[in-house]
Amino acid sequence: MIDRKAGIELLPASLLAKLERLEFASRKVFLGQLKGERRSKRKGQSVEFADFRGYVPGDDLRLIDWNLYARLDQLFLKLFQEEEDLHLHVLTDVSESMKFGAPSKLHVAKQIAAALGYVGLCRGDRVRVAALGLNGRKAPVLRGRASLFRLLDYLQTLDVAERDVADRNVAERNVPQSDSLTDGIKDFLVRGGSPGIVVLITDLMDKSGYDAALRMLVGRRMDVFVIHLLSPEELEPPLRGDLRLIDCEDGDVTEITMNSTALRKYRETVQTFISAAKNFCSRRGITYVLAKSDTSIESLVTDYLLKRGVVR
Amino acid sequence: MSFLTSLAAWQWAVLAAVPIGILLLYFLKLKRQPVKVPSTFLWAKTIEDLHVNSLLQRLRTTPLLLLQLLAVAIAALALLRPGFRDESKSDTRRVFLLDASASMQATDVEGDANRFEQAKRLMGIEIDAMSDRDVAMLMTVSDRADVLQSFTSDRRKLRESLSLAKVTNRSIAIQAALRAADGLSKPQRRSVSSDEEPTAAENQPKTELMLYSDGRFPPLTDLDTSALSPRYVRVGSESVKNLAIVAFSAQRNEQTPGTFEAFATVANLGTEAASSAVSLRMNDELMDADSVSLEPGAESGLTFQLEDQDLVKLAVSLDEQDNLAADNVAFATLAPARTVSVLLITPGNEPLELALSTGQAEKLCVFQSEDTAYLGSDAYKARATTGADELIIFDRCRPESMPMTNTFFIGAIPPEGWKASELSTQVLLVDIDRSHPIMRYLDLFSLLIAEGRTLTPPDGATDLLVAESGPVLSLAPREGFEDLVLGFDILSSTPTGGTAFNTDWQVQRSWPVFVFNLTRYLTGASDMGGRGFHRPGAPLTLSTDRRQGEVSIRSPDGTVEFVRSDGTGRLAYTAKDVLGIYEVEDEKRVIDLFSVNMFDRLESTLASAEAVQFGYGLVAKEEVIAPSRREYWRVLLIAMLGDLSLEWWYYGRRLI
Repeated sequence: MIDRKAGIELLPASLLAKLERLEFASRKVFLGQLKGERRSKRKGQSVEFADFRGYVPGDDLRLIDWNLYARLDQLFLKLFQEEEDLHLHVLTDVSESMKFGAPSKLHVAKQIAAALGYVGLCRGDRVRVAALGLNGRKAPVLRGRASLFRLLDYLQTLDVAERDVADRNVAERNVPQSDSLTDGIKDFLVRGGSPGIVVLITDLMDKSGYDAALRMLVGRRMDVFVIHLLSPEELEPPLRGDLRLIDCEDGDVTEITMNSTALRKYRETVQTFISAAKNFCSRRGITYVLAKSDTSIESLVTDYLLKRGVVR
Repeated sequence: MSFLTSLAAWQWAVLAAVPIGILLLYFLKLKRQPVKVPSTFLWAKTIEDLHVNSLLQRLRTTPLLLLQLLAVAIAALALLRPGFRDESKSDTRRVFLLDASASMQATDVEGDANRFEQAKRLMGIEIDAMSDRDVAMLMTVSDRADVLQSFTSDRRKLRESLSLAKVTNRSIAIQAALRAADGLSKPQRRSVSSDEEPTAAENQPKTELMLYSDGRFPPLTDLDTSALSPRYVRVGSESVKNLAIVAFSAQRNEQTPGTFEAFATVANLGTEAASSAVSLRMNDELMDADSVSLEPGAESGLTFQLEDQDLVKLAVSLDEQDNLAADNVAFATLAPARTVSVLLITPGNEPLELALSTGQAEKLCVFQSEDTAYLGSDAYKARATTGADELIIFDRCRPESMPMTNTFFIGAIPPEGWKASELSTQVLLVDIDRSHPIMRYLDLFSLLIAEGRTLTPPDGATDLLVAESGPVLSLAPREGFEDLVLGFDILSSTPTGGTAFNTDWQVQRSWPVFVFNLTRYLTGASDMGGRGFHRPGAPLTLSTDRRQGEVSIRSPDGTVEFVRSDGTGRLAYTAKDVLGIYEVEDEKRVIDLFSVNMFDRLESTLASAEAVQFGYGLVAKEEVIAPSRREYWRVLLIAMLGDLSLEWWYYGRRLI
């Protein structure tokens, strides 16, 4: 049963109209499965001219360019760009660390996923909004704007709390499970992540690093967008005094005396982390976008992502 | 800049442990506020840096710790009392001489317990103000000089030695101390031939003698203190109130057996009139009381009659508080009767021998008469040096050195300390000290004396009989003994070799009474049982029946000391500084008693002197001004308070 109200919270109605006018700015052209609104690598029956080639017996006579035959006395076929659908994967990090912030990073991630997913649906793309990890396996493949509520319904079910259940199931099935970004991406690709646009909404906070995960996506010739979502508390932690910092993901404990120097050091570390991620992405043709979780979804999608070329 | 440490070594050690404790508390404190964070991943680099040099990191980045350590450092610095001396004296040699005689117990000072404590405090200030190049030594003087600290530039040692100095109940013999100081202040003195160049020592500046005293000592006219440059820091005031018991004795009453009499002399040695009740206690029970009211300089005798007991411990005290408490109490004892030995050395003196042979005198003593030639014999020397006799009477002769016992000189003076004028004819008596036990019951104004000498006794003497030209009978103390000197002969030798009476005293009734009195008084132990008194710290000889082993002597303060007999029943003992009654015990049985009293008019006369005489010079008192030393510990304390406030502010700010 679709919880409409909850879905509206994720994606306000006022935003939907704006989203319908947007489309993904994919820099690559992929092979699609169905006919769609996007240029395909295939030559097909669109109105957009692509190339000429010589006639060979059996070719469709309708495609012969008679004007050219009149001038050159040779048969040439006019080739047109095929317009096909696009595979859009919106992958959402649902690790424990996404729970932080007010509103939580996970909530904002779900909003972004819903918005981008709806953009894809409106453009007739093959949209799969999925969580990284086990929850992603249940993600439906959607087409058409009518699938919006299925999309929202799926997003509603995503919560870090569900991980425990999933963990238990995994344990029962003896499947190795990990929260790490790399494992999530690997799982996504193994389960047949077809080439297309991948929007990865994550905080990139993985102790094992994000390099391998992003490299895998790029290696699969995906057009990768990384929306790096950080909460204001992470950028400017309101911490003072002698603290025991407990990592919510692995329970790692670190004792620290928070003072201005430590805080300054932390800020430097965060900036280094962000610029390192940015550099990594730009070197590999990945579109990197830093987003703060306290930004409203409307301005985030229609203004911020638009300016940064994620959508157009 | 100089420092004065205010703490002992162990206290510094404790202070040094404080910053270590702060550091340990700081680094070992376990209570940290747990905070959940999305990931410690972003803290990785920060934490890594902090872990690599966490100690330095904390030191660098924790102003609280630094402020706390700074507070301790400032406190330590303040305790070191940094300061500057304004005066630029350097290389000064000083002898600090502290008067520790009984008069320094006087309480006529403001801000301190007594003169001695004030002198110590003032001396402490002077020591604190010494520069590192100054050297000083510290001596105390009572009836002897004690070097508490030899020359040193270590102010801590001087202060520690000063803290050990204690005031005594003794008299003052400052001459010996000054000689010692004079000698010690010439460290490089050596014999040199006259044609040699003056040594470096002779070129040295004079040693400064800082005398902290009330100036109650005789003028030091014949003192050569060439190496000393004396300064007199006066303590005490000129206006004092002091009633003193200057004599107290007890003797059994021969007229009425079963009773005894106690005689006390109270003198007003202060500068204002005073009156007081006088209480007499026997064996710690109040037995009698009287009152005295005296103008300055006056004195009064008091007599108490009491029931006799075998062993009597008497204490007389003045109830009125005055500036010196030590002379407000006196002690006397009565022990079981014991015959004493008197040695008479005379060319022949029948009246004296007769007087010593009366029935009462025979009960009192056994006398032995010897010719003057006996003085040269070994037997005499042995008796004189061991103090075998309680009294030696020298009639018209004198020994080469004074014997270790009480003496009575007739027509001669002791070899030391006494002076006598030329013989003068027709000695007319003008004054008799009837209060003295020796002069009791005597009526001497009708006495005819053909010729005699007036006496100049040593300091502290009591003139018992005064003629027109001066004293003719005086009693003077001598190192625990007493010497009685009569300035005129009883029998004198004629040019023809015969003898003639020089006075008609021997035919008067007062003669045997006088001889009996003096024998009883000077033997110290009479058939009346009254024991002599001793001064604090004085050596004394006790006679007991015990020839072997040792007896114990219990002091008034409860301490017991064992003294071994020399085989003749005599015990050599040095009285302690505690006034009171000492008990001689043999196997827990009290066999003898003796008392230790101050009885020192010089010490009891408290008004401190304006100036003291050193050699030919008069040294005026110095205004007691604390040496100017600018100290900064107050500034440091304020700085520490500021530091603590800053720390508190920072701490509050950190918590917000």
